[in-house]
Amino acid sequence: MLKLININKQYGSQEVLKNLHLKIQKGELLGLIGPNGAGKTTLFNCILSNLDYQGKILINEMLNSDYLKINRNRIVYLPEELFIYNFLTGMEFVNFILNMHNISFRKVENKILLLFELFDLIDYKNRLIKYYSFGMKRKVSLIAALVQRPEVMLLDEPVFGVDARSIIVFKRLLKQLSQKGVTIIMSTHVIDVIKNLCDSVAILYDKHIVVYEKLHKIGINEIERKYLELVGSNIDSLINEFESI
Amino acid sequence: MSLFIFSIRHTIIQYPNNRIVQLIITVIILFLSFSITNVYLIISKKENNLLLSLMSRSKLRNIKQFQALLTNLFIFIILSIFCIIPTSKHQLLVLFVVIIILILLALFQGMISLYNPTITSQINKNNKFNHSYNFIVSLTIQSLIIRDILFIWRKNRPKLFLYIFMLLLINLLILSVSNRNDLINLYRVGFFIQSSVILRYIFSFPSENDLNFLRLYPTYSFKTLISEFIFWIGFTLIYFGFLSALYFFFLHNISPHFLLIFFLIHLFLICYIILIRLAYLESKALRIISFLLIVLPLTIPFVVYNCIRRLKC
Repeated sequence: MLKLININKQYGSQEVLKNLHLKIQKGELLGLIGPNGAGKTTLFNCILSNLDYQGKILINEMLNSDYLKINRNRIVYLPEELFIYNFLTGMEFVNFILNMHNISFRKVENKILLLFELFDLIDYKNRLIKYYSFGMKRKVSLIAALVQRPEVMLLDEPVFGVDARSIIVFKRLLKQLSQKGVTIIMSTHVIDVIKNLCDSVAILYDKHIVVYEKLHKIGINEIERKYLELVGSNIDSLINEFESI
Repeated sequence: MSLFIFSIRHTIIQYPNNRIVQLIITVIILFLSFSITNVYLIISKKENNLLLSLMSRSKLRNIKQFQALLTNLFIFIILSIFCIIPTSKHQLLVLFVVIIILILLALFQGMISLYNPTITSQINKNNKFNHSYNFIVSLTIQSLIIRDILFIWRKNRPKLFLYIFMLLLINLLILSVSNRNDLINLYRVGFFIQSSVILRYIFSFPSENDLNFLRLYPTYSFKTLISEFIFWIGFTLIYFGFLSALYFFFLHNISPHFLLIFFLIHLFLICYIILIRLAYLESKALRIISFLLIVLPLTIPFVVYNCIRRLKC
């Protein structure tokens, strides 16, 4: 479904991704973890063909650039940095995003209202977004992403700033989408978010995927241990040094 | 109020050829045609609901635009025949300009009448969704234009009123000149001053909306460009169309050559500014430099090159 073959990406002289390989099956829900600056957002932008890179990315056996030309509406990308218009109401913003994807508001209106209710935003749906808190803005973005019926979803830190109830709702809705065959890559810094949600986990470290495991085989605790081994081997010594100063 | 209406009626009957009278009649005709169209669009909300169970919202929106246009034109022409029969080329020119304005207004009217999602809240569902986005302009472009209108109205209103006040003041100052020869000379200068005020507004229009949008949807850069063209050129045609009609009533002999040259220069500059905005969305400094250096034709290829580069995204 989604194949990344030997991806290399440089910003000037700085290498961000090197010899990165990854294969994701249709309907797979992949949790992508890695330290800050590991290249998760860059990877998403490469998949979306927003950046130049070396290597090959195939979506449904088509080159991503060709796939995007005819199927841009079938990929949903939720960036880490909020994209939202403060001068629109929550409802108008969702309508705007739907129009961008050529989806009729009327066709999915009930679904939108349900999502507003699920995310506890129903009373704010006709209020200008400028009066929303950060978490509420993030929730409107989630609604705009979830209401679509894509083939691939790229979610960059989707639940950052979102309350506990909405995280539970989001996780359950994401699971449903994945069961319906939507391929999802979700990057996060919080390992707990992918617990009981993702089918597989990939760790992006040192410019490439160092660990790719199915969660039912290995378990989240093992993933956490491996991740700490990679990124946190010197934590204890540094903390000791900090305390001694 | 009744005294006011009586005095207008009296003036119209007593001085039918007076230019003020003609101006009042035209304003009344325009007001009537828009009011009747609006009343019709409001009354036909139930009809909207019925039609929406049969066709897609985008298709109905296109039909509404067409309907608004036809109704506007029909009422305007009928009323014009009874009130002002064009007797000269200049009057025909004014009629032509007004018809262009009506077409543009009908487009916006039809778009906005169906934009608010709540209108469609009680509609029966029809799962046979029909993709027909390209009747006049695509749904994406319409949404981008409406986004800009809502942005101006909700976020940029104080600035908008300031500009309207400035433009009104310029026109009042020019029209207050009693000497007709001075007025003929002044209105040309006035047009160019107002053109520069509007160009300044377009130039300083925040680019964050497009910048953030194109980061998420880089492949929509061409649609963004088209929507900006439609929005600003439409706005200009409406504004200067009204202005030409207004000055015509006071001067009677506005030079068509002047208007043609003026519109060509103004439209060229608008298009160039929009290209600059898209080419250098990230950098205000580069936008300013490119615009200031427009006198050196060398900068034009740079702007066009950068614009094409973004369009290829």
